This record gives sequence, structure tokens and C-alpha cells, in this order.
Amino acid sequence: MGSLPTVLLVEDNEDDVFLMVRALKSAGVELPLQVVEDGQQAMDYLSGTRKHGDRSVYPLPEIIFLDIKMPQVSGLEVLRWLRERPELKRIVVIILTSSNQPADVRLAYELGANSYVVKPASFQQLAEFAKAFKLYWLTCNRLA
Amino acid sequence: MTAAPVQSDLPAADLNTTQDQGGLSPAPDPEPAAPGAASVSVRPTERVNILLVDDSPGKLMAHESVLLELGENVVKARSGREALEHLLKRDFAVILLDVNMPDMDGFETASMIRQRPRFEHTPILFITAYNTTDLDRLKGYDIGAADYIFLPVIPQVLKAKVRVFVELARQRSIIENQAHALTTQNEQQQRQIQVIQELNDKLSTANEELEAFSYSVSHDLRSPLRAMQGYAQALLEDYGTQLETQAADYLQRIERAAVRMDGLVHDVLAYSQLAKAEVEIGPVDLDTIVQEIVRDSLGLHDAKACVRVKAPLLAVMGHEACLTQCLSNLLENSAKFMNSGRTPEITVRTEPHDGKIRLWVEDNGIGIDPAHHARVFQMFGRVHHSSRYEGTGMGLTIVKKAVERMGGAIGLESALGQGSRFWIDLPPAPP
Repeated sequence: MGSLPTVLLVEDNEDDVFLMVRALKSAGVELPLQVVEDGQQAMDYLSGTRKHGDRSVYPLPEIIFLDIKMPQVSGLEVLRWLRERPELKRIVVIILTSSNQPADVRLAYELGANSYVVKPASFQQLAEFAKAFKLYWLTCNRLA
Repeated sequence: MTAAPVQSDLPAADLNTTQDQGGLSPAPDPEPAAPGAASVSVRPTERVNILLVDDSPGKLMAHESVLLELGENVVKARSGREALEHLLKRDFAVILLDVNMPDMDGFETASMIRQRPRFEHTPILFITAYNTTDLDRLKGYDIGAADYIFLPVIPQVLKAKVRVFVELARQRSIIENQAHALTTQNEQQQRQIQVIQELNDKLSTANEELEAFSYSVSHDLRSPLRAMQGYAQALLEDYGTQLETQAADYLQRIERAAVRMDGLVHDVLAYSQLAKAEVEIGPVDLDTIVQEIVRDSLGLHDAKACVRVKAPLLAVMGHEACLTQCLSNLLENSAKFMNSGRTPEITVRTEPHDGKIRLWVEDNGIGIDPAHHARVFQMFGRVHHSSRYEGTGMGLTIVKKAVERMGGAIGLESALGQGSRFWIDLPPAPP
């Protein structure tokens, strides 16, 4: 992949979207960022259906930040769905959620998440997470 | 002999009703047997009933006097019908039937007796003269006789044969009583198992509800807090230069309040999860726990605090995660509640106490007035203003809950200006 990888943020809470965008910016993450606000739209985006049909406008992401608790289709359902698809199963999925329940953590990994992060309470911590993300996942780690 | 009315249809009668049938039996009425099912039911020390049926008064008396030597009740009947009436009133261990009787002979009487399910198995002994044919004898066995006794009766033979059935009746009743007792016990246990099952189900439901509640609290309550804190900070960062000092101050207060609220939610969650978690008790190495806490806690590092451990700490029975939480909270408190300028000096030691191990965490901090000793363990209970010492008021509440979950006890010795000494009692680990 020559061009910069796209990051897809799947998050229903607009405040959390604002904070995440801000945190990534503060960490110097300059990747193209796409945002969808629920599970169904995430699946539409990834399968390139409906309004997300044009891949030049909506490129396939290489990293997904995935919230769990969303209305109708939950993040874990999206995860299960995309891991079954040959063209999508190698995308790095980082669960980014409020839930610290061990059951959720276990299930996320069982369904094939690459990482599980609990949304920190303060913005400073979110900014530090963004820095760590950049260092580990974008610098050290190789994407498929 | 008056003919009693024919009773071809015997109703199931209650043994305890004594029907006066017009003084047919000259012998005094023996005690009735204890009420029971369709066989003899007597306590081992009670006497069983023997029914003697013969139309000859002479033979009746003679046989009765022999049988009385067995020490049981003997009931006499002078005809088949009378015998049937007696059978209505009580149970018998054995029935001795004269074969040769007018009206209903022995065989007929035996048939009638055998028709009733209740007396299907009552042993019947036929008394007969030697001159019965083989055919008659077989007929007797067909009807259900257990044995024959031949006239003239030899007392030892009569007693020996009857004694067998008396013993049998006794044994049977013992076994029945035992079976009955077992059944009752079984029913009781079944009921208890059911009660336990229902309680278990209720507990499961309660636990699930608590899980769901915790999850909701964790997710939904903390989300707006993130927003508050994040936007306040964004305002400060992006527009800080355009804000007056007062405005910036308000924003900082908003931010601190959000962070504080998040801490409270976190602690309440920790507390509620202590209540529900399965706590497995096992031996715990306190030395390792204290070392790790000191190593991981910034407030206890090096020059910030002097933590002295009187090693080796005695091993206790507890739960590692709970004890880590307890010691962590206690040590952080000791480091936090200090007069400024002084270095916290904290001692951790153990000693045997009253069969338990008492773990002490002692400090040289500001101390706690005895009037407040109860409050510091209460939920959100604080002594000091949050501006002086920050905290959620849940630290010691969590410690107390964790100690209780491990089956231990906690206490405090302290006075204002004299430092604080917290103790935790736990069972000793086996060597």
C-alpha cells in the first residue's frame, strides 16, 4: 500500500468522536479518518454498499477503532461479521469502549479483535493513548 | 347361637371404631392394634393379635389357653361370620381356622377373607382332623393356607407354628416403621433441596442484575463525564488566550469536577463488585504484595515516603486481589494524610493475635479523632474538606468490605496528631 492507510472510527457518541479526533491530531496522527456512527453503517462502509459505494471517496480502512455498545447492531456483531469476510478479515481492529467487563474483553478477543482499549476518563490520557497508538501500531507494527 | 346378619360386602372400616356386636365373644376385648396400613403394625413391645375360629367352645378354650402362653392377644370367634366381624375391627398376625364348621366352613371363611385386599396376606392356619382327604388338603393350600394343624392339637406344635407367624408380623412392622421414617426423611430432604434451589436461583438472578447494573453504570455514567472534561480542556487549549482568568478558572473547576466524578463512579463500581465476586480463599504472601504496591505506586516511591516492612510478614489465608486492594488503599492513605513538609513514615508488620494473624499498617500522619473513627469506613465518609486532601471517601469503605469478604476483621487506633494504626485480622495460613 503506497498511500496512507485510512482509519475508520465506528462510534455513536459524537462527543467521543470529537475527543478522539482531537486526540489523534494532538498526537500527530495524520492519517485520513472516516467516521460512521453505528454498526449498520460500519458494515455498509466496509462492504461498499449504499452511500459508501465509491471507494475513491470512501477507501477501505486498514485500521478500525470500534466501539462496542451502539444502538441496533453492536460492535462485536460487526467484528464477527467482518472476520468472516476474506477481503476484510485482515483489517486491524482496536476495540475502543467504555466497558471494562472481563466478559466483553474475552468475547472481543474470541471474535478476533487485535486490541482492546477502555476509553480513558480524561483527555490527557486519551491523548497519551493516541501517541502510544501511533508509536506501536503505525510505526512498529506492520499492517497486512 | 344367633345368626349374625350376612356381611358379604365388608366396607373398609376404621380400626378404632369399636362396634358392639351384641356380646358374641365371651372373652374380654383385647387392646386394638395401632392404626396402620393393610398389615399388622405394632410396636415391638406391643402384643399381636391371634384369631381363633372354631364352632366348638371346648376346643376354643383349650386352644386359647395354649396360645395365651405365647403372651399375645387371643381373639376367639365361634363362626366364620364372627371371624369376619373381628377382622373388621383389627388386624391379626395369624388366623387359626377350624375347617369343620356349620354354615360357613373353614374353606369358605378363608376364601372370603382372601377376597379382601387387606387380608390377602394374613397367614391362615387350618385346624382339622386327620381324616381329611388329600384333595381337601390341597384345596386348603389353594385357598391360601400357610399350614395345617391336626387334631388332636399338641400344644408344643401349636405354639411353635403360631410363634413363627407372630415373629413374622413383628418383623414386618419394624421394617414398615423404618420405611415410613425413611420416606418422611426423604420428603423433608426433597423439600429442603427445593428451597435451596429456589434460593440459588434468586441469588443467580440478583447477581446477574448486579452485573447488568455495573455495566450500565460503567458505560453510561462515565460517558458524559468524558465529554465534560474533554470539552473544558479543549476550550482552555483553543481559546485560553481569549479567556479572562476567571473564565479559565471556571473551566478548570469543571474539568476537576468531571475527573472527580469519574473517580467516584470507579470506586462505587469497585465496591459493588466486591459484594458479588466469588472470593476464593487461599494462602497469600504478604511480602510480595507490599513490595509490588510500593514499586507501582508513585506516591510511595523513594523520597516521597519511607515504607518499612518488618519482614518476613506472617502468611495469612485470604484473597490476593482483595489484599492488594486493601494494602494499596491503606498505604496510599498513609502517604496522603500527612502534614505538608514532613515525610511519611509507614510501618507494615504482622503479629499473632488471638489465634489470628494481625496485620498492622502504622503511620506518622495527621491521625484521626476517635469521634470520626466510624465515619472513615462509611461510604463517601470523609473527615477533611476535599480542597485539603482529595479523595472519594470510598478508600476505607472498600478496604472494610474486602476484609469482610475474606472473613476477617478490621480496626483502627488513632488520635489527632498522633498518626494512625490500622489493623486487619486474618486466619493464619497452614505451615
